[in-house]
Amino acid sequence: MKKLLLTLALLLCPLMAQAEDTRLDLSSLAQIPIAEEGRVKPLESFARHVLLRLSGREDGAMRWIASVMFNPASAPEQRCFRINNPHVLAALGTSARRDKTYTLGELAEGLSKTADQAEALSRKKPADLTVDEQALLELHTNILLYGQIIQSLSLVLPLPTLVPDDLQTGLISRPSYLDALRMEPLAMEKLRSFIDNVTPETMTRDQAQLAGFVFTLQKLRESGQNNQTLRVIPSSWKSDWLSPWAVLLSGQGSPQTSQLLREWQNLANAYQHEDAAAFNTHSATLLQKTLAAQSESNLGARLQAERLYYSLHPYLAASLLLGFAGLLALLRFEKAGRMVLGLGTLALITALSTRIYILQRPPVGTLYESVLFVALIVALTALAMSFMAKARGLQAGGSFASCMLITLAPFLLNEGESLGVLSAVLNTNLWLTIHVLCITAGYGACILTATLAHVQLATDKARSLTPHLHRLALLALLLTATGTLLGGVWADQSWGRFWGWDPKENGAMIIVLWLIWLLHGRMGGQLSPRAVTAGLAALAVVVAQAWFGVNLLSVGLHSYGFITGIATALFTFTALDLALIALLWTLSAKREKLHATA
Amino acid sequence: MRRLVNWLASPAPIFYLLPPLMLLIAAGTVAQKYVGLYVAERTIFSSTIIWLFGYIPLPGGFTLMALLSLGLCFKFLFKSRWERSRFGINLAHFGVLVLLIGGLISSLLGEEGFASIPEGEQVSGLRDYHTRELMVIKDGNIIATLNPATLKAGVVLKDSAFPFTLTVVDACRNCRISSPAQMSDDLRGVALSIKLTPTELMKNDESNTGGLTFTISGVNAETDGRYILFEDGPPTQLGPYTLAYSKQLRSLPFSVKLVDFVKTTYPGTDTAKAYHSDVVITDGALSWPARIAMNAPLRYRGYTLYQSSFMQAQDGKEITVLAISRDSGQYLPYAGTFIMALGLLLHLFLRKTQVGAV
Repeated sequence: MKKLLLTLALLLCPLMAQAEDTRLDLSSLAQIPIAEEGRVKPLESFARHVLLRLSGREDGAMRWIASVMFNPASAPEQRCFRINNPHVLAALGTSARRDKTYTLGELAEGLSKTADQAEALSRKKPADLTVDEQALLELHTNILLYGQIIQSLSLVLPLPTLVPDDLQTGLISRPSYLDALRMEPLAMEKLRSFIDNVTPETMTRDQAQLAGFVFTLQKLRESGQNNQTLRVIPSSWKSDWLSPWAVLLSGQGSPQTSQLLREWQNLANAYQHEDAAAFNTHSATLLQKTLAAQSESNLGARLQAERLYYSLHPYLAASLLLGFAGLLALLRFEKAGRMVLGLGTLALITALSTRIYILQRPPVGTLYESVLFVALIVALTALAMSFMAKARGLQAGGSFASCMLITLAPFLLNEGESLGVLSAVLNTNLWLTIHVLCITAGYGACILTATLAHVQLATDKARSLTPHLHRLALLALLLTATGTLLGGVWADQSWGRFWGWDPKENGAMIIVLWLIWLLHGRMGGQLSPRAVTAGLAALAVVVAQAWFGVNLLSVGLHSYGFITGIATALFTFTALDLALIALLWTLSAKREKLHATA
Repeated sequence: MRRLVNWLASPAPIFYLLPPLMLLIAAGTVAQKYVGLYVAERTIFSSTIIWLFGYIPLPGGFTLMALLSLGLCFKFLFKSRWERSRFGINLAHFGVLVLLIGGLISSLLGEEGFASIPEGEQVSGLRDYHTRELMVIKDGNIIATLNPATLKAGVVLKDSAFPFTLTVVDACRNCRISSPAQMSDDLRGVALSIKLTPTELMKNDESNTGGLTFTISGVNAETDGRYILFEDGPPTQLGPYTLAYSKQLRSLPFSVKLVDFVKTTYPGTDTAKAYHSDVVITDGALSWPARIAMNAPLRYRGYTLYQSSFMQAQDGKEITVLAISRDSGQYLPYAGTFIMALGLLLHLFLRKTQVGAV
């Protein structure tokens, strides 16, 4: 860490620090492909992800990253480190600020003070860390990441030292490391000729300048050694992406990569000279050349789609539309409600299709994705059933349930990256598609069933099991049972056992058994229609426990912020929903009594 | 009697059996977190009786599922009306029965284990995940096997097959290996440099290291003494006899040689995208190459070989871990799933639309 701070200080010696130019068009730069977390994505997604991680916000991510990459001198002044933990602030010796964000410059002293502590913490198991220790370690890790980004283009930026006049062979006024490389042999030769005969005190000005030049090159090279974060150069030799420094230092360069490095240099120069026209031209050329140099199919179009996906906020639009649709249905504007429900569903379909296109896989690999998919199923089923018969409750309930699911989804994201790759066992399109789509569709049907059951329990319809509710319950049973068993087929194909009592399998099985129990209880006469309706309403709780509850179980005892939040939310939802069902039941029974006496 | 049969064939048993089954599954799921899957499966899911607090008997998963199957059988024999509107639902129930029977066959006749094979090496056996064995080997032949689970302090083993007497001093299902506190003259073999102390059982039964401290007597003064043997540790040599402790080894009717193990990662990460093992199968005089990949197992002679995991040996050699299973009822769950899904689908369309007809 200390070494990093030293190198940063060297790099950041303020040769130049300009204000950013608002005429710069960052759209081409935003689309430059970069490999991160196993996936090639637009630079803008990377910037959003990193900024979110450091500061908890993602607006202005492109301007931020351009400034940090091309103008490292501005990096210490960027207020991009959010520290919520007061103990970390105390350890750093920094006074708290209301907006909780700090600059690297403000933190530097504290960081160097706690560097040894952080290093010791990094050797401990994550599970053994306290919340405070974890926060301190996270801050130091974030600083390392920031350092990597600051230095990622240092090989194409002007050297932070003066170049001795007698080494200047060309017309380059402020050479970069890349330009200076060819001067290095001569510089070394000159340095060797006098270095043994002088001391720092007896050196002439020219000699000191030469020694400084050689030292800077070596330091830059050292700091570039592990700089792997900005993987923007497609390798010419294998299907991989390399950082500019890795291209240079790992001997994987080619005429093509050298051209790309030159383009990055031109772009950096244009940025530093505030030459908007040159910047816009070079960023477009760089994008074009990078895309031409890589081998993935449709990458350009997928990158564009991803930028659009993030900038249009399709889920916000869908949730607003669906919420509005629910409201319209509630206020008895059923036709208008149906139309808005259709629009909301369409927005959701478009968003999920874009996701499929970007990731080239089905959209149900993570909890986040499955919640969105379930929201779609709920909206679609409600829409379809609203055409079949007059079903205001179903339309309103379905719209609201879907809207709530979309709102809930972002809380299930672990680290801000919503478009992720799949682990090896999930990376099999056939079984993933069939099993997971089927079971999540089942969850969707369950949620819609539960919503409708709530609505019916609140009305007089609870006295008999309505055809809608019955049909939905059967659909939910069909989908969850088949999905669960298809999971067995997948497990048998992948792991060699059909059923292994895995928490996720058991959760799904309990949903199926709950539905079977209610339907048989109804048929055998042990359960009254009202009890069945209440049981179907409680399906929401059963599904929540099976879907999220088992996930909490498998993470172990250590509760981090994210998981604790979810556990509390799950517990609150369960308690509130059960209380609501009990209340609706009591009211329904009272109504019936009044009805009977009347 | 007739009333009982009628009752068993009605939906009533399902109504009374499912709540305890759901509770049992929920309890077993939570229990896994604390005692591990192996113990949860043995004591809850696949048990006949659960002893709550040690003395209250409750029906186990096996009993509940057997009763459900019985009810289903009675339904088919005495209750099912095979008319058009009931066809779907009858088919769905039949699918469930097929699933339950498949589960029973698998649990009774199924066999599973694993083989870890370093690159370039060949194996012709599979190891059990849980059962350990203590073997007495002479001239490469196993002349006696013992179940270490039965060995407790004070147990004396004497057999005509071997000329020594083995007395168990201490046995542990999961042992911690440490340096001995004091030296004494009767220590032999690895007992000179280590001692075993029982430690808490791991939740994952496969990870437990079983071990045994014992004395040998009746050979000669040089051999007689105190020995230590632990799972996958160095075997104990007693003249021509070797004692070894490992997970139970069962033979395969063919052999598998690992040619190459390949792990593909997502670019720039350590996240695995896929794994596969290129192997050569040898059966008698015949041998042929095959590939076992994640989600693409190899099936041969009733055995199925799956890519399960991998390790790296200290010398950098890759070791593939294959899960191997043999299950005569393997295709019944597939059939059951299909029949049940088809039945439910038909029921959605064929059932009478009046409310209450399930």
